[in-house]
Amino acid sequence: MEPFDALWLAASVRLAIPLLLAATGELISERAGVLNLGLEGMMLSGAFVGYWAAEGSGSITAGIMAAILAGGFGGLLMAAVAIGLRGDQVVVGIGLNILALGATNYALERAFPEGSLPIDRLDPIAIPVLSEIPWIGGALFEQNLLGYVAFLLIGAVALMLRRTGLGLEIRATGQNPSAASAAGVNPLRTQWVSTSIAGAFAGLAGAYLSVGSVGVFREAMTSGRGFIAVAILVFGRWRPAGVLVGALLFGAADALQLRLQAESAVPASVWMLIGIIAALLFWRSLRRTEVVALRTLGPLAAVFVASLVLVVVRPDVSIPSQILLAAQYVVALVALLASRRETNMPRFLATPVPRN
Amino acid sequence: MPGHQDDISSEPAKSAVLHAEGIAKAYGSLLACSDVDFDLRAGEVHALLGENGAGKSTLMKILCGLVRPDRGTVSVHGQPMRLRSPRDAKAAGIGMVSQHFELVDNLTVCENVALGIPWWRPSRLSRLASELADFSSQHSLEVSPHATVRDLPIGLQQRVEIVKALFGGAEILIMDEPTAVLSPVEWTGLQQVIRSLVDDGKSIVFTDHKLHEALAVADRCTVLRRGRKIGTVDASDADEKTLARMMVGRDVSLLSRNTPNTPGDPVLELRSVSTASAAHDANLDDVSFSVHRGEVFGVAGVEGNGQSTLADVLTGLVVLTEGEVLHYASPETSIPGDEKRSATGLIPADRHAVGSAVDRSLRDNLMYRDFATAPLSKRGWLQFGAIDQHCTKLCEQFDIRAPGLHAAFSDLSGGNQQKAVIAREMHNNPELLVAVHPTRGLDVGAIEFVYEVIRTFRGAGGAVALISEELDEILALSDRFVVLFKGRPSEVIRPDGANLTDIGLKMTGASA
Amino acid sequence: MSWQPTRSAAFRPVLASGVALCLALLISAIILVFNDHDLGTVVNAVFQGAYGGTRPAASTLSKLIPIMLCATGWIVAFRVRRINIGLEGQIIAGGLAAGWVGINVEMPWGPAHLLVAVAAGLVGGALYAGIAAWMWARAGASEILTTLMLNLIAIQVLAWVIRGPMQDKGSGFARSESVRDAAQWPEMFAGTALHWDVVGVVALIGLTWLVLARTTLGFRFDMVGANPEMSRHMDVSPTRFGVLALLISGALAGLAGSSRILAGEVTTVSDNFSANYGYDGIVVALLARNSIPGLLPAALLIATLRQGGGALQSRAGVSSEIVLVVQGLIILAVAASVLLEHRWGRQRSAVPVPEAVGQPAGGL
Repeated sequence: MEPFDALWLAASVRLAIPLLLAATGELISERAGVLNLGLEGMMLSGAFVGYWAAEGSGSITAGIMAAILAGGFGGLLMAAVAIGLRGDQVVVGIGLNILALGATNYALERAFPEGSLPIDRLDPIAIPVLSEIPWIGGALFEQNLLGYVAFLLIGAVALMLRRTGLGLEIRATGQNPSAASAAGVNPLRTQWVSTSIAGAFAGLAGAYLSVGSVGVFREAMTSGRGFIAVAILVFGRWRPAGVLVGALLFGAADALQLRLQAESAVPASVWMLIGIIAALLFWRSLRRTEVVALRTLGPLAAVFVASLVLVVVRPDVSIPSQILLAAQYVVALVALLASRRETNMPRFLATPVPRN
Repeated sequence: MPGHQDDISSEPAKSAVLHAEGIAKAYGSLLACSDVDFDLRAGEVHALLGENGAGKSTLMKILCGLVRPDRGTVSVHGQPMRLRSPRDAKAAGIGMVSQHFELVDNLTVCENVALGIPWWRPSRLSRLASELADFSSQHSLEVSPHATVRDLPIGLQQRVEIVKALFGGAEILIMDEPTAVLSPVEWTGLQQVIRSLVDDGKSIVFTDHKLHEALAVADRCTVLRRGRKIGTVDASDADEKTLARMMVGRDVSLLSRNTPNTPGDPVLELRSVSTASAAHDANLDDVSFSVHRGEVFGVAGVEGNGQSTLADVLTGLVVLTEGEVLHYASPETSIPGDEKRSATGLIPADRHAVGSAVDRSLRDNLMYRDFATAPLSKRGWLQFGAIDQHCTKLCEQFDIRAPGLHAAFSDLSGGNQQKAVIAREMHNNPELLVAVHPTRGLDVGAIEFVYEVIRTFRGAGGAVALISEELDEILALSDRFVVLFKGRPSEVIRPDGANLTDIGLKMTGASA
Repeated sequence: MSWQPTRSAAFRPVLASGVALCLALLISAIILVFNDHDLGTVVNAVFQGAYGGTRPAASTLSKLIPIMLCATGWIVAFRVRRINIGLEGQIIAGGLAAGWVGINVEMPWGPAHLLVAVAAGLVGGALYAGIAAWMWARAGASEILTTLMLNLIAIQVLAWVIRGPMQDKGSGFARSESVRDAAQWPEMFAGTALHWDVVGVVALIGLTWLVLARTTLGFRFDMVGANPEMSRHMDVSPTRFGVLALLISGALAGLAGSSRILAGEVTTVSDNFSANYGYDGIVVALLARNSIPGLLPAALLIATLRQGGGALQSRAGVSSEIVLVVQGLIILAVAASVLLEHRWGRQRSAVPVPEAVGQPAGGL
């Protein structure tokens, strides 16, 4: 089933990891009511500082630590302006992104006038036996260190949110800060902490991109992944499991577009995939009773039929790489469209906490 | 008035579990509390009464650590305390039940109780849950620990608040307007809860603005007016009239019945109206009634039974699945769609969320309904000269007191805000007035004004649809009314000779 | 923001923005000094680069056009409290549409061609914003996130178009053919970047200001922004006017895109012709506190930074990326200064702050 093979699966997971790391951090801050659009910039600074420190010290670990600190500093800055000084969260996020883009470009030119050269990157660690499992073995159990850490972290964060005092505070702060403060919680402190943690996670995600997987830093190398991570939160309905699934789906889409760039014509299996997705969505809409859902039935049926035709005809078309790149953002748009008004969204998301 | 306190509270507070002395608090130039003394005896129920802005909320917030007083001391069991945060108050055994419940609605009951434990301690929720279940059944306050709060009805949410406070070790319970959100049946339930808590040795303070409720359950009542304490009286010695005089400073007669009136032609008619799209309220199910000239038609019922859906239907905001709403200019001709809004005046339930824009000017708020019509605008251009004239005239006519037309709406007092909304909606004598909980959150003076407006309008031959949860209000104002329960109306009732028990049953669906 | 604030109240935001601006520039100066640059040289280089001669000055002024159009677009959307981060994508959409018409359509009468191309830009931008508006109105999808995604999509689509269907096959570069002469704005001063589109654009921005401040349409926008639930009860549909504002916002950005192609220094469609003007627009609108009269000084500042910043590398040996850093700092400082403004306001009126009213705005 070209191109859906073990290699694609492995690439999917690999590409999902930075998204997962960033989205996990964003999960914490959004549950606490802080919409951190500066994620992109924090990832970018993490990627640069990680590379810069690893290159300077010769130690990848030092690079990763530095990336976490850089991201965390971005988170602190976000917290200081958006929570401490009550700046608009969306505006502050945009400002941070522009600042990070300019700062990393500026620093790159100053620190590496010749451009960044490849350094060692994290080696994959194959887990004995498990990595031998066909298909998923290579995908799941031959990650580098950060890959495993990412999966551990989403589990840990899920547990933290559900089971610890901090988790309760975070969930309460995003939903009803005044109730939290009546219970003796300081919602502002909770937001400061969660935003900083989110920054650190984004820094780690950035480190995965630069020192973790390619060993170089390129200008604006995060290329919108931070925004995708924010979309994953909406897609995953602010739940850890949803975030995990969302990150893997977007990783899979990214891997698919990379594979398709190498193909001369679109394989029939891709058309089939589109058909299957359309059928699934059709089934989902059918089970809902709202008028809005029913309205999607026609277009979905059309897509399904069209994909069937394409599977049979196998037209000799190739999709330009740019359109493939755009496709994952289109997927994000569709995800936003499908998740609609969510009862699960933290009620005070992007709304400043009222003070007394 | 220091040195001029002739009541019981000036006695040394030996038996007082909670004693506040000389409390003062100012917000900017506004004195919310000025030199207020207050004491709560062990095992008593103490009602704190006053109009909006009398300072009772501020006093309560000071007592439970949410607000720090500028001056004055609070002592618990004779020990002076510094209550800097709710945490301090909790430690001193003071628990608070706010009017707007301080519950996180996407957490379970158990998680709400656990909120505030140290960060890294795992919240052993299963153990807590069984403790909580035991505890609540001990106090006959049964509530399921694993239920998510938003799935619970209002009465149970209030119970969760009480359990939360008691479980935190509260001996003193402070309740802010506990009856505001309850149906009559739930209020009876709460009375029982309060009595049983007192039997357990708890002491309770609560605020209220409905005097008969306060008298029904309180041992003593303290009345505040304009940040000052007027006095404390034993409930057994007091009646509604004296308390009302203490609150307002003069005699008030709100609840006199309407003079009889002969209704004229119908202005509005609903024919078997049903809806399907209400989000936070019950949908209407086969509602029919008509409102005539010179009559107030009341719709009673507990919140959540379709009143806000009905209000939306009357103002044309909801798509009907069945039936029709007819507006008549005269009995034969119905009013075309565009003119319905200008032929209808609306006093909305929530003058902040629905009736006005608080961070815009008074002038803007006065013109929101009519800005698109001449002379306020011509061919799409606003005529600021005419607008200022128009607004100045409204301010004079409806006695709206404000620093100026450009003053922010939020700087106006609640009463003046309500007057402005009424001025905007009523100045051009609409055919129909839709009033939805028109007096909610208003003080007595402002309520008098609203009643006056409605009665005058009716007297001049206007038709009024009055939707209210306050049964007294319905009985006093309306000529005919229905009770709405789960979106279905009862038969039409006339206030004279209406059976209160029967109406109470209708509100809870028991008679059906 | 009151509908028509009193004079002292109107002065407060200006002061707050000024303080924020100074702070941002101060931090930038510290960064420069820290990196061993001579401040005098840098400032001189910026001013020389921006105003040292007719041509640079004209270039600086011509940059005002996309910046102010985008800022106006942001303000129109923000009037109804819609956050249009997609100005950048809408520039691209408008530029592509205008460019396509300018290259491929032939018109008997020259000026008509220009007009049609400009109109195509307006429509292109509006339609692209319309996607986000539709998603918001139909499904409640946050326009913040959808417009962000649409920006990323537009960049990729542009990259494909100029390497595919619209590529100038003769040159082999990743760019389109030049738009026909008839579809180009005439130069205002020969040999400079300033074209006659300035006049039209300034008039249009003035018109937008009038509409917002003095017409019932502007009043409806403000109403919806002030309280959507109330507007609904006043027969002013928040959805309809939210969509309309987003469309106008997109049209303004699309117009900016058309000027980039039809009055640009190069008249081809190429990668990055939008050059982040969409984000500049946001910076300027914030700096001007969403007031259209305030746009001119704010836009002038950013245009100067941009034009002068371009010359930094050659004149002062400073990477021009520092301009992005300054812009980011300005946004952060302006966002923070809103608090300052409120503090001043509170001290003046000494009235208790009203409780938060209504349901939270909810970004998503």
